Amino acid sequence: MNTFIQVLVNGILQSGTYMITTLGLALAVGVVGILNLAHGEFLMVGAFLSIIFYTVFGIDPLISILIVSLLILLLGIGTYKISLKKVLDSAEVNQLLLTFGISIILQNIAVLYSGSKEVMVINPPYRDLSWNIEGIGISFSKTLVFIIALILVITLFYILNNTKVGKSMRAVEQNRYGAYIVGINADRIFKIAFGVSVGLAGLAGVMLSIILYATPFIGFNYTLKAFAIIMMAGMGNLRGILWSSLILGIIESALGTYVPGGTGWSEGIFFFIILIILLVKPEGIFKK
Amino acid sequence: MAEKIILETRGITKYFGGLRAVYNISLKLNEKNILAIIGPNGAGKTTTFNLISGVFPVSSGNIIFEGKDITKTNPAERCHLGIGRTFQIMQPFEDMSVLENITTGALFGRHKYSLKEAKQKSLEIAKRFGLFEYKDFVGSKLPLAYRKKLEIARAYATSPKVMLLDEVMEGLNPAEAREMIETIFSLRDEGISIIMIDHIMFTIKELADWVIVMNYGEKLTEGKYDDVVKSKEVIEAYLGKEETC
Amino acid sequence: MKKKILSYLGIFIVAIFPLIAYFMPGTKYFLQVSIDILMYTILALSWDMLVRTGQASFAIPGFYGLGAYVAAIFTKTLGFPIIFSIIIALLISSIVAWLLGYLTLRLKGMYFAIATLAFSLILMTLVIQLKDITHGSEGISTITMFAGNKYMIYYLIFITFVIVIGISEYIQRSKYWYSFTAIRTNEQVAKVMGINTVRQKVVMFVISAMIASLIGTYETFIAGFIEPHSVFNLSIGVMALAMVIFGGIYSTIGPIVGAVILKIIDEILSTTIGLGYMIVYGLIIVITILYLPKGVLGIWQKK
Ligand SMILES: Nc1ncnc2c1ncn2[C@@H]1O[C@H](COP(=O)(O)OP(=O)(O)OP(=O)(O)O)[C@@H](O)[C@H]1O
Ligand SMILES: [Mg+2]
Repeated sequence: MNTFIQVLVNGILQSGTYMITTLGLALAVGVVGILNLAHGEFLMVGAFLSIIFYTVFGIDPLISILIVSLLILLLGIGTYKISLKKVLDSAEVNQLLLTFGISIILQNIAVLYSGSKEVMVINPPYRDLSWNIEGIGISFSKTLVFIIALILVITLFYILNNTKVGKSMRAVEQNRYGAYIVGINADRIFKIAFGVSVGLAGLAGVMLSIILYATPFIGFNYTLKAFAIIMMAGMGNLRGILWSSLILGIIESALGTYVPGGTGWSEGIFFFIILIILLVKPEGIFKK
Repeated sequence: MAEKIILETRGITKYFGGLRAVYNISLKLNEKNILAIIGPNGAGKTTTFNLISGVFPVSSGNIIFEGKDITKTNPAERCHLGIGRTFQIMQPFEDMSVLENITTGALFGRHKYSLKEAKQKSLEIAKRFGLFEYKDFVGSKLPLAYRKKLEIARAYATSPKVMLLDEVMEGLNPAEAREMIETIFSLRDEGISIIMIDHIMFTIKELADWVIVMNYGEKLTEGKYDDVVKSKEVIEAYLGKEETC
Repeated sequence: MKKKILSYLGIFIVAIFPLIAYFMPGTKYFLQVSIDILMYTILALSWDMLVRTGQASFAIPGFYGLGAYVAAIFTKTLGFPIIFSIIIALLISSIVAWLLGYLTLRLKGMYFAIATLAFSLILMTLVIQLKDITHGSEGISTITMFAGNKYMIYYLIFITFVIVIGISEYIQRSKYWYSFTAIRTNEQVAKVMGINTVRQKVVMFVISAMIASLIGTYETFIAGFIEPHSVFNLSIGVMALAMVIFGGIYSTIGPIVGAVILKIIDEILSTTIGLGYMIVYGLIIVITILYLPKGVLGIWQKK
């Protein structure tokens, strides 16, 4: 029984990682329709900056998180202005390739910085803190990630549904030309959405630097998983991301506990689930 | 009636989720006849074409072509049997020239011409429909009237026995419309049976042997043009709507 | 006409290239590089042929790895001769591709890309986990072909290259150019025009998969050793795709030019700059997309 609860707890906490890494991309892909393959690399840059701030300036990630997110948001807006803007109206594959090119550039800037394939880790004092409630271990930092992820999902959900800028974003996705007619400046909306999207990636990177590690190459895997979760949830469905992350997180944690050598299967199972969902319900299982 | 029925639908119905787009439509198309479907916007006319050409499966009902039930066949098979159609929202293949668009129809249509034959045919067809001077243009760059012609030429290239023409008159100036009417007559004279969707009354008056009026997915009435326009239901359905030309 | 002469000249140069390497000492290295280039050219072509039907696939690493592993297992564990292992690898890949092709048929754009990517990653997990058969992530070592003779290997790949060019050009000049272009630009209209889109997409998917798988089997017998992370490497698929875009999509010459140029740049940069050299590669992709959307050949290439 205790193991089962532990599995559940770990799964739920793991889902926080999925949520926080997916959220920003969901805004870009699902809400305004920008396919960003460099999402994970923006996240990686966030993690790197967090680590640099901590090791070089001694600033705790929980403090630098605001600066880092803002920096990456600006980086995103810059990226949008000089490149992405130009491919928004061309074929999907062009967006994918352009952002793929950007991801290679970011990755290799990180390689140039960190020199080798050395793994970068930081140890803020609360990293290994955990509670023990009736034999169930609950990691503090993972709980923190989970809670922040949850808050962000809810906030974003609220913004999209209740504010002018949020409604404009959805209008732009539904009909770019129509939005233009009713006076929404589509370009500005794209710029903001993309900036916020990668800003959120940077924020996720900072949070992950607390619980995991960073190398220049961690990005792509996050991008893939984020894309997969978005598809599982159904395009533009933020609530679906919550559920999808929970399901995947719990399955992963159960695999690790109940199946011998199960963690090795987790990536395969993850993509197997995604494949099945795409084949059976391509519109996502949590369609609005 | 001594005339032979080439195409028939028996109570075809189409639901999109909860929306009933087409309900219980039965129609008969006689060989070498022109049948017109009219009705207000959103009446389900285009959807009826989509059902006949197999773009969507029917929710219920049957489609009979030359005495055979084709309800379960796919669009390509229906094309091979001899059902050709144009699209209301014109959709030339983007990466192809006008001639290549037509060649595609000839290659994969009812006769499945060889590439050499198909290229030959497409030149003839381009000439016949007045597209020759535009033959190397990219389809989407054509003026509207020529895009309409391309829609017809491409469908004609598949060697259809029945052609479904979806609003091929719309947006044409009087001279162009005149030309289009002649084109449709020439197709009929060649032995092709035609169903056309249109809003423009004088063309229907001139062309149609039989008229079906649809509204809210249902068949409101049918008959000869002169009888149909006098019927109370039709006047009601169109009342308050914009002048139909 | 001029184009035709140029193409034959190009193939002729590729054909006699090893002779240069043979007579000029110290150029063996170039032979190895050109083998790599040719292999990528073939992969890029296989990706381009499929994308002509509108399907941008990420299954290349999956089939490349599948071919590599089936070939390795059949020679190493079951003691089959190389040629039979290759044939079996092709058979298995074609069956898998046929199934996957049918299943993923309805998916488009990003959905198709992710589904095929998922396929590649699932296969990799299977190979890593089924240790009894595959030796897991340690990899598997087997024999090399032609006792490692690079000239023989070069010519085998050269022959494959010519055949694949033949297939690609056949598609470009036959009725399939029309049907593929139609399916890519508007599948629904293509159907109404009598094109059996299902069959054409699946058949092309299978052919493309078999080519990737074949190159995978070559990799096994060139290196004599394979491991999952290198043969199921997603960057194989991504490179092939980048080469196509860079050279010029929907053509035979585009992917070839793209593969040759990018692979040479890759080679030069990795030896001169070393670590982080890929940054230049990223810039090239970005600049191509932004300023040469039809690839380097887009300027004077029509079809
Ligand atoms: N693919 C579809 N999915 C959902 N609803 C559809 C689809 N196609 C048509 N409809 C709906 O079915 C109804 C009938 O549409 P249809 O296009 O057949 O009308 P129409 O008579 O051709 O109108 P118009 O004169 O404007 O061309 C409309 O309410 C339309 O919104
Ligand atoms: Mg209509």
